Amino acid sequence: MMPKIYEFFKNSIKSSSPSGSNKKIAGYSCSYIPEELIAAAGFIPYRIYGNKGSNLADKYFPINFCPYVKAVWEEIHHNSAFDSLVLATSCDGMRRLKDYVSYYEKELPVFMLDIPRKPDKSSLDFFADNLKKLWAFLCKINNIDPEETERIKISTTAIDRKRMLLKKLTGQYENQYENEGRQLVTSSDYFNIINISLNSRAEIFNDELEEYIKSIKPDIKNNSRENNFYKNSLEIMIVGNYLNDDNFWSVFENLNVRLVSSDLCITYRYFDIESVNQNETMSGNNDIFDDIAYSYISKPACYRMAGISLKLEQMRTKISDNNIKGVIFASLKFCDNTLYSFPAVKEELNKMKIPSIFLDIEYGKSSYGQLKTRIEAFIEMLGL
Amino acid sequence: MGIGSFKQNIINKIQNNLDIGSIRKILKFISNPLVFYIYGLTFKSVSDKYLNKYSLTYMREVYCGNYPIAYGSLFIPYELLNSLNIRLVLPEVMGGFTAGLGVTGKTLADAANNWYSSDLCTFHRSASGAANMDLFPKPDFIICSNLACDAACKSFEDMAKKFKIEDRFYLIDIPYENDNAAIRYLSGQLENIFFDISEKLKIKPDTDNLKKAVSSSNKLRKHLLEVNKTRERLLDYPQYYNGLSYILPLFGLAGTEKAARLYGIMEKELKIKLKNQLPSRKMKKLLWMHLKPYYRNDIFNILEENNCRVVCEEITDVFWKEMDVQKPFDSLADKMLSNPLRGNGQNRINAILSMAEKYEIDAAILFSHWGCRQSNGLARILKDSLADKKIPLLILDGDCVDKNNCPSGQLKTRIEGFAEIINSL
Repeated sequence: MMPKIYEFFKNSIKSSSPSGSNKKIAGYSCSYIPEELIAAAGFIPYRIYGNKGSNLADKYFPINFCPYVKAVWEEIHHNSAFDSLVLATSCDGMRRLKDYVSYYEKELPVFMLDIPRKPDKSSLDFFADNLKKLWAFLCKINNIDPEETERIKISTTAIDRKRMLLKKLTGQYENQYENEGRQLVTSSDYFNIINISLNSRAEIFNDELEEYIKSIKPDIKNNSRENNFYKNSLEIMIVGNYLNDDNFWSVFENLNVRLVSSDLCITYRYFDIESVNQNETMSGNNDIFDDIAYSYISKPACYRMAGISLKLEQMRTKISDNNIKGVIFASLKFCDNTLYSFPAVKEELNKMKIPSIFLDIEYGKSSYGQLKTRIEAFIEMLGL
Repeated sequence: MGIGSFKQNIINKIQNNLDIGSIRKILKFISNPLVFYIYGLTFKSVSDKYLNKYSLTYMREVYCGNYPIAYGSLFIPYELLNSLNIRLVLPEVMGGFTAGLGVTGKTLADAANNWYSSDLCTFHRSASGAANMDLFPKPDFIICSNLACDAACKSFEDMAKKFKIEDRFYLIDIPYENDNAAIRYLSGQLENIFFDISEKLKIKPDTDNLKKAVSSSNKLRKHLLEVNKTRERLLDYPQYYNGLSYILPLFGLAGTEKAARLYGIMEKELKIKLKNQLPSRKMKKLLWMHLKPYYRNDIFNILEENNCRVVCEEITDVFWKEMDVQKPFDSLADKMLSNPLRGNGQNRINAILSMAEKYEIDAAILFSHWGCRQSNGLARILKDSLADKKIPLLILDGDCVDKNNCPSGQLKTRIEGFAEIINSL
């Protein structure tokens, strides 16, 4: 059944369907791929969600392979809606996905964006150079002159506004008051809205999100503990990778928790990106690609990046600043970058005496009842 | 009590009490001139004998405490580290070493206790467990790259954190493409590492020594080319010869004169074998992909018994061109970028198809090591690409390190079934 929140964002959802627009659609796979470049080249950037229901990808990939990559391959292989694809060197699984597209879907233009693993100067230069190559690839498909870089500045305005609104929504969700014991923005609604933001037209989505944010403002006058308008749910941090699964978020319905400071591919890593337009000299050069490279490499890092100690330090700060009571480490199965990072995360949490739970997620095919039982038991333990 | 159970008791005792001290004692015992001589007699092939004696001497140096130690992943430019007289520990070799010693159960259990998921590659899990159990000397440096997979970057960084040497941890970021920008980016990283390690070792950066190492590496390459050319026609191998046993010298010791000498010996030995090979010798020729199991196993015997011979391995192919001694960093960058396991899977497919043609193989085997996403993820395309050339491929599910994850009966059945098919073609 479609979540109710989808009704509110019906125009956004419509804007991502091929029939809803005469624009071409470029599917992309990673939060390190700048959607402003895709939009500037005249495409609708569509974060590939994948076909979670099918098992046909098992004919192509081994059993112990990333379920997201498999779902994306299903979507690409059986859906002709994409006019081009932009993938990234996020992991070995994504490298192999690119191979399958190139080998079995020869007609589909695909670009592999090479993302460096370090934030130093030479890595930034290298990334900026790769972004120029991506821009040239996109422009060529849509017969656009790659010299027209002004287009990029224009497209960043809408993308920046989207990020700003998503941050505002996150603020509402994380610090919200509650209405008669019920959250104004449920975890399920919050994550579903982010999901919509990933593949709808920014201009349409922004207007609907702005309306939505206005509609959820609590009644400040009656805001008191007595009126039960005060936040009292348990703050939990969720850490993981591409957890874009409405069934998973629905597990949190009716649980008295808020998922604060989540460190996922669809949350802060997606929208906490410094605006290119706000500070033109952020890279120290007057070059739009250098600036984009800088802002993306400086965003909250994915576990694929080098520097686990910095990542742990950021986690520590977030936990103490937000009074986090427990951490859910949820990883899509067979994600090496996340799984190899878990021992360090777990060790750090143990040092901080923060309880944590590790969840293996199947991406659309998990045993949600079992997950719910485990999460409920974890929350019960935190409440003691 | 028979000799067999006496031997087993000693092995059990060693396995149960294994620590860095007992490894040192074992190495010291075997290095005794008389024992070392007798040990050498147990090898049938000259190159095998040289490899084992050399590896043993090298391991003794690793454990003696007189040299700086670096942990490094398989495909990093070891010429650079060997020129700095650093002794090296490779995770793939560490994993193989623990498998050979029969202590994988313990190292994997240690990794599991430290929250390493059983879904991950056993090479890296076992290496992490072994490092945590202090089975290897503490590293002064840790160097890794994302060539060919992500695993080393993460597991090595975790080790650097454990050993509190994060300022001595180097990640070589390998570009996806191979163009001038990629060479510049990679060459710059290698240069920085060379100078930074020299500074930390408090030695003057000696680029002349590096050039010598590159020159030795070129010699190794030249011999390996001859070895491989010989193997294109060779079916009658020295007993127990296996190209996959030479990972340490081929990669870890690249840039040393001894490694070049080993390949010189191998070239000579295989050429003699080819010269004496009976023209009537006929066997099905196989190409081997990925690594092999490093614990005691019968895979290659089963293949022999079924008239099949592995004549080439993807990992022993010479994929890089001769290096320019005067431009060591650019040349080493180019060598890394030429590796078919880098970037696009088509690089690997092209290399496999080229080997298939060169060696005129009848079939291929992909050893599908548990948890190796980069290799196994390409299996279907490899199968289809080889099928286009009418070459059957066996995808052999198993584990290079954990014998409990690799049932021998199942492997035997699958290999025999495959051999029956290719022998009937």
